[in-house]
Amino acid sequence: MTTEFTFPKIHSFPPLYTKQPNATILSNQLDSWSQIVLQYCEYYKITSMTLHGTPKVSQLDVNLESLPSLFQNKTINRTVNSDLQTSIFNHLIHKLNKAEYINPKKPDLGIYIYWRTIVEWAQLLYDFVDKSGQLGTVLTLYELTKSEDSGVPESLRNLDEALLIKVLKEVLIKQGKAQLLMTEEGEIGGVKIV
Amino acid sequence: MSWLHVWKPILINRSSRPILRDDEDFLCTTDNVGLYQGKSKILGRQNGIIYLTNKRIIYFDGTDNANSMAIELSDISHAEFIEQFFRSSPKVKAYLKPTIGQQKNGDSTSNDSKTVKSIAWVCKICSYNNQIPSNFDLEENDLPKCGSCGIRPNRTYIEKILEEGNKNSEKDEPIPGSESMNGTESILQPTAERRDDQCPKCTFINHPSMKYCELCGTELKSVMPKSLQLKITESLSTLSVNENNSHNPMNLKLENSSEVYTNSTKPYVKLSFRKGGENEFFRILNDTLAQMKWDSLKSRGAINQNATKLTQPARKQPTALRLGGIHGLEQLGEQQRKQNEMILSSSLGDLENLMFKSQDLIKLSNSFTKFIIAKRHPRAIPTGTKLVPPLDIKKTSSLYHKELSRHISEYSTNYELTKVSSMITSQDLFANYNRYLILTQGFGSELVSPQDFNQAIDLFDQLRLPIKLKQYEKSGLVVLAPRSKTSTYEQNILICLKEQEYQFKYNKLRNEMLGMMDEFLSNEYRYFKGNTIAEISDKFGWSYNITLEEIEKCIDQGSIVIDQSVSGTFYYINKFALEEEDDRSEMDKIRKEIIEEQKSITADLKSQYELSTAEDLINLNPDYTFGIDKVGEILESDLESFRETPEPTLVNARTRKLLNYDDADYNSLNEVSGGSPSEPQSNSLNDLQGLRFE
Repeated sequence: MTTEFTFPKIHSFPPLYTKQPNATILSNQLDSWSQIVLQYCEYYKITSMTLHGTPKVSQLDVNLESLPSLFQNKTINRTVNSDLQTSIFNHLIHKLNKAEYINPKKPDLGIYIYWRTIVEWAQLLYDFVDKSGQLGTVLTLYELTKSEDSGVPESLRNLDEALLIKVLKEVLIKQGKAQLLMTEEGEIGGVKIV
Repeated sequence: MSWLHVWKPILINRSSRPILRDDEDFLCTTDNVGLYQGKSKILGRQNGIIYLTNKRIIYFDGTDNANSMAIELSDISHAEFIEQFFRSSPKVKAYLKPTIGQQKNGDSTSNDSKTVKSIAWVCKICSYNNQIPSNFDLEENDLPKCGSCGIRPNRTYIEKILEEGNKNSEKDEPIPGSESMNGTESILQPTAERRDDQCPKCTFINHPSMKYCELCGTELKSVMPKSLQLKITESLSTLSVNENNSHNPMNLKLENSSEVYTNSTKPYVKLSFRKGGENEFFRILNDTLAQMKWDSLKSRGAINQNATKLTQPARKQPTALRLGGIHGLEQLGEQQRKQNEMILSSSLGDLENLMFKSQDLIKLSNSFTKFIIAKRHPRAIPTGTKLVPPLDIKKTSSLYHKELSRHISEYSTNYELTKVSSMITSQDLFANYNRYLILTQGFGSELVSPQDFNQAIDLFDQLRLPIKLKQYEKSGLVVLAPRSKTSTYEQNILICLKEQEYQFKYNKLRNEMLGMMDEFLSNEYRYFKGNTIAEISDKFGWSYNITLEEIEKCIDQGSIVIDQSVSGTFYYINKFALEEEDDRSEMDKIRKEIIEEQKSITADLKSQYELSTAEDLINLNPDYTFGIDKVGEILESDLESFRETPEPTLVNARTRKLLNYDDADYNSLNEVSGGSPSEPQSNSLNDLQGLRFE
């Protein structure tokens, strides 16, 4: 990953960094921001962030601290204040449903960014298992995302484990396509996708 | 028989006031008085100040001090008052004593003064030298106190002093000064062993001009040397002789050239009071005359001891009525009212005087107008526009507010609201309008009060004037704007912002293309910084408040967005709603424009160069006209290469020759221009090259 993410032109439009007083414009502004956040996260394959816009987990093997800052534009010397940041994330979570708190009771833990919805994630997972002919086989979580020789597709590689469990629990199990095998310690020992 | 000799010249000091004699003092002063002798006016004495003193009536002329003169009160027998009658001013008629025609002047006063003399007594306590008049009456008055310690002396002591003093003064010869005036030569007579300038008390030898001893304060006898005294008396006598010898010392001329009196045995002069003050004057004059009579009677011994003067009311005052019943009550009320009226009118007199002068004051202030106009207000009255004629209507008129409204409207359409987009707050207009009034009409002009102004601008709609009133809801700001513009100002602001941004991009690109980007410029042009309220205000000539309101409206509309940062608040056109804008095509357009501009500059420079070179050629050979073939010329072969040809390469060649181009340079230029004319970048490079050959 050598090339940096190029922000859209609107990112250097100074009013973007001020919470607009007009409601219509504000919603446009939040749309713009949401767009930027999603594009940014998709580019760096960031699946979760803190509430201050710093990436938490990425599928890519990059130093997260070296990434260009999302809410800061050094060229025009502007920064998004925390109020507007909160608004942006609220907009993402409640209006667009493109993000979710990792733990709604502890919002400080950060949020998942769904540049790919969990249903889409589930579909990808299912397709991978289906294509590799492992339906009905018990697989470990490691095998699903990290194994070098299991032919895990690029899109699923290094997927955050917490997100993977969330995808399994909230989509596949509900659809009746997966079963979780628990170990004695109460941890997930394996997954069987049918 | 003429009575004009009663008028005598007076002495006037340098500050143009009459010099009074000893023991004379002012009693009453009245302005705007004219003089009559008998029935006729005295010419040139019709506007002056009358000073009434206890000795004279002094007329002080308002125009020429030399016309001033006086009449002795002792020449006047009694005075009468003449009421105002239609246009004739109130007058005081002073009857002259018929005897004074034959009387010699001047000797009546000098006789009285010799009797009274001050005698010194020394306080036994503090040994201070006190003075006491020689005619001091010990029976009537208390004993005098010492001026220093305040202790009264012994009665017998004072009696003795007085007796001695009176004896001494009888023994003394008459004062040398009066002697010399009488013409006797007694000054050389040995009056005493001591010198004249030696103090009789302390024997100090004073300066001859001293009147009192410098050390002990005793009155000296006249100690002036004879020569000095002679000089003084001479000058005095010449002064009086010159003017005494004629029957008419002041050369007075009368309106009817002859003196006419209603009764020739009773001559009189009249003082005509044109601007009031006659009552007071008359009262004081009467009192003074009565007092003088009383004194003269007293001095002649015609009055008994302890006699009191019967005071006669000068004018009959309405005495308190002792009537009963309703009539009496009414009379009492009437009196009360009259009294109140008098108090009021006398107390408001000063105010009336001020009002009376107000017209003069305004005239005076108007005379300064030219100084104000010379220093013009910077944004005042653009030359060329016509002046709005001043409003000429009284404030009390019922039409006042309507007329004022029209006038304000006329003023604002001419000076303030000249553009479609102009707006002005009512406060600003109020201030500017009043300033304009002063500027054009001077300080004397009546300014418009805020109440009147507000009423007037409220009438705009009713009068269908081309100005409308607008009130912003948020701040309650009242703004005036031309009526013709019905839509909002949003469009204007948007256009303005767009222009600004376009200008920014244009400059940025231009600087980049011309290679002028240094560190400062690249910092400056890093991103479009938007516009502040102040910039927009400046653009439209609005006041800050108006711009703020309009911008807020635009924000509400959603067409403008705001950027608040540490460096301030900036406003931008809303770009959130837009998709990724067609920036590239716009940039291309700008690029093309810049190229066109550079091209035209190059072309201009080229043509200038060619023109100047062509002129040089013509000067070398005046017969040759550039570009036209002339067969048979001797120089033809030389000029062959300069001939006008349609072939562009030849033109280039010629230019090259004319401009002494470096060949390599030229070739590279040629290559570039020959490359691909459609590509803007190379085109611009070509033009830049073209620029540099200057």
